[in-house]
Amino acid sequence: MIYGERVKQARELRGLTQIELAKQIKVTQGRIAQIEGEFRDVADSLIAEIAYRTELPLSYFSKAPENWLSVGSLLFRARTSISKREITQSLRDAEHVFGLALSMARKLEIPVLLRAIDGEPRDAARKTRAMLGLSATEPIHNLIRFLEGMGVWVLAIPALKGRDAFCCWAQVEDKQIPVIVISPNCPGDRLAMNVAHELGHLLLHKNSLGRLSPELEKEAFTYGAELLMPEAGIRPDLQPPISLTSVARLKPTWGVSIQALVRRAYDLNVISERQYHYLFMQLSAKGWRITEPIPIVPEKPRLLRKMAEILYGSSIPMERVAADADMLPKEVSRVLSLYAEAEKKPEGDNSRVLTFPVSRRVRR
Amino acid sequence: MVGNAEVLFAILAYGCFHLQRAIAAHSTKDSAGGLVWTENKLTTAGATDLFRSFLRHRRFTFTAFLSATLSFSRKIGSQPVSGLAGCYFFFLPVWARSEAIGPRSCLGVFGLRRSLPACDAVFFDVAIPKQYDSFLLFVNSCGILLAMGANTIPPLFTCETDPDLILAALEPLLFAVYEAFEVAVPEVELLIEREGIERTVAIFNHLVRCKSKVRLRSFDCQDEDNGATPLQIEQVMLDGLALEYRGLRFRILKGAVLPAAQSIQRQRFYQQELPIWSSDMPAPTLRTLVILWDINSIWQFSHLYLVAPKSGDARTAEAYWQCEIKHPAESIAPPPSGQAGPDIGDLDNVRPLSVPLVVGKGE
Repeated sequence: MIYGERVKQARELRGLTQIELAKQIKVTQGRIAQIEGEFRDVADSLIAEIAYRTELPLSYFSKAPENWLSVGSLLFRARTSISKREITQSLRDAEHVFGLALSMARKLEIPVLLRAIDGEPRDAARKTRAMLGLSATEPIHNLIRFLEGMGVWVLAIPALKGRDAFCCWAQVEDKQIPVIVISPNCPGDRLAMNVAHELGHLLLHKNSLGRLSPELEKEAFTYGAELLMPEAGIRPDLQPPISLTSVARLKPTWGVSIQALVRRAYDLNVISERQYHYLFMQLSAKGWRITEPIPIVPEKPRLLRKMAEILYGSSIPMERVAADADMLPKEVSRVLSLYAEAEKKPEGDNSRVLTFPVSRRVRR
Repeated sequence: MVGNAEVLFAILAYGCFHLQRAIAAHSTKDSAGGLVWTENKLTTAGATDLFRSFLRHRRFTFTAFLSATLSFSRKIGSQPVSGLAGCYFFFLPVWARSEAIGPRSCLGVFGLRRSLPACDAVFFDVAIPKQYDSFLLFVNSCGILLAMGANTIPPLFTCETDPDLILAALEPLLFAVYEAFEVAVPEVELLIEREGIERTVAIFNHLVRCKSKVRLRSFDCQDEDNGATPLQIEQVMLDGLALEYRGLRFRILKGAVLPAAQSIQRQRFYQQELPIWSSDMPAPTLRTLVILWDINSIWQFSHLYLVAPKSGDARTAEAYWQCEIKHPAESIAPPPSGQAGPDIGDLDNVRPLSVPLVVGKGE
């Protein structure tokens, strides 16, 4: 017995239409529609063919489908050039990776310490810094790790299309898990702002994630900017005259894009609207709206691999993880490669560092 | 390393300096044709320093690079030192040039250049004809060039030096210029609009140059090698921009290509080679560079080029090479991977459950 819904999920996961899948397995589109609509017996050879084409194990199709993730903020910021099919594929991919994480999380204790915050975005950002135990003025260079420590599941998925990140509160049994889905291909400077932005949605718009408006989106941007570039910390750095060069010098320190810094200077009234537009025209002329200089290495999430390391040991056996998560080993391997490995400590150092020393801020 | 030979030469230099001083006591003409009266002051110690500076050499070309000494001598209020070069010419039949009397001067034969003692020169190029090669060997055998070990003069460039090397060496200056224009152009744009000034190319360019000059004065291009501030903005006519940095002289001009040299001064500035230059001689030393700036059709700063001029006349200009100066941001080093922040451990609050099937602790 297989679940037709699982066939549909598998197809959508691989970005296939019914016609495309039908062609691949040499049946009619109607037959695929029929399979997807029912919970019934399907010939073993046919389901094996579907499993082969969708690169999933047979066990995947015999498990009851679950929809843990909602579209959350996925739809709102998706580019108009992205098709509905690609959006669905992104969601399915996120669900797939979430399923892998959940298969391990069920055997672990992962405290969720993140709480929704009411109030104005800037205040919320300051409260978030306090909640994360961060100073009110320093740059944050490992936001993802901080969030994972607070119980946020940051999932890197290989094929997030149409946008760089989205978020939702996943419902698992009676628990709600904050989830931020990111694209591993996103440059580090944009990634930081994307994560901060999605965190803003999670905290400020918990009950309205599926129906975001431009106003809520603006709030999330304000939140993200204040979180990563707190006014108290960055205003002394944004001394006029502001030029692309002066702003670019701040990029390595603050770990955000030049565009975000220019925008921040405008929001803090350091530059006029005219200067703001001038600088953005200069950015466009240099092609820096798409690819900026001073690449920042993107921070990799860690939680998923950490779960695997706790459950399976530091040398993770992909076959066992795959069997437990109804995935193929090569896919598990591909997914886990997007997550950070444990940092190697110097030999002889068995102490666990849990202190919070003063951060090392690089000033120009 | 200070050897006996060096001291000997210093004495020689000092002695011959008196000869030069005698020459200089007469009225002489500088490059602009005006009368210049000079009084050279030089101590033995000063001569020794000069000698060290002077010992930078190649096979057929000796270059005296006197920037540091000149800066020093200016500070103590004496005249710029040119006596040593004259002294050197006294011993060797040479062709020479100094930037103070125009790069193409060919008057320096046998050290009796009438303008040399008076000129406010920063550098001298001395080309020694081939037939004096044996004399150089003799000089070498006397051990005079042993003092090269004490030579701390920064390396110079020739016209054949890889432009990328030059760009890298001049990075502090070029970035300062870049940022100056990057700031000046929108400031001028704003000024014109705010003050209702008639917008013409001439006025716009004039204001940009003025603003850039003000901005450049605030830059501090420290020279790590010398510990001094080598960026000097020359006083030139009107709002023209001319700089001196690490022994190189710069003119900042507007345009996308090297403009024609319509004035004699500009022609001399463009000229890099001495008149006796031939292909079997080393490449001429690079002494002058041009920085070009330009705006686009909507009055926005568009680019900056570095050009090594070769020659020019009233209608044309020739360059050895022209390179776009990349935006300073493109040279800013990215932060190290995994830049350190507060150490928050390795998600140590994630632990195995004794009783499975529980996710989270609740919200």
